[in-house]
Amino acid sequence: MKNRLKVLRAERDWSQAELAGKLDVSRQAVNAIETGKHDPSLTLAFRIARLFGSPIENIFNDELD
Amino acid sequence: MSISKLSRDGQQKVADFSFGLMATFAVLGLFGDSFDTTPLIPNAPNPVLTGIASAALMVLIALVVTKVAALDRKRSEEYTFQLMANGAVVSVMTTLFVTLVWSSEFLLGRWLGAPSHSQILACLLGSWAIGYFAYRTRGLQA
Repeated sequence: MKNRLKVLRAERDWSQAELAGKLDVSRQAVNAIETGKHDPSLTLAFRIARLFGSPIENIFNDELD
Repeated sequence: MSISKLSRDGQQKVADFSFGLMATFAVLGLFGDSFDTTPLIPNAPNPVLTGIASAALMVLIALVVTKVAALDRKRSEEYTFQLMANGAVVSVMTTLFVTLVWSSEFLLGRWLGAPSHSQILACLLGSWAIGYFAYRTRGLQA
């Protein structure tokens, strides 16, 4: 599944570690999601969507595969 | 300090270190136990009792571990837990296959002898570590 996490993070000028802190996950987890090595759970996906104030489908897109 | 008090990055580092250690012990165990000539524990004098006791123990421990794993999942970071869980699947499949091939007189058993309990355990831990690091490196989608 593709996602726009890296773009959204860059727009806010956050580092991976900062984003990880806000989401209560490890920096490695953020890196794995950004590089497509890990699809987050629904719970984490909702947390990400809330943090960026954007609907989940605007951040994650399974049609881009 | 309990694992739940660690930061998320800390949990990931602890997991990396633990699996690295596990891989090292597995290699040492596999190699070292090949030289162990201590005789195995003799067969149980009462096979029926052994069968019932071992089945009961298996059910009991499986239920306890299921409960503990659920707690672990709640407290662990999901990415780390996912790496461990996927690594565990690799470990179980590998150990099943290796044990079958190694125990068979027609396959590896004739050259390597029967695997000891320690060697099976080392295989289980070692392949768990390999699975963990493989997914850690290549990603959970690999």
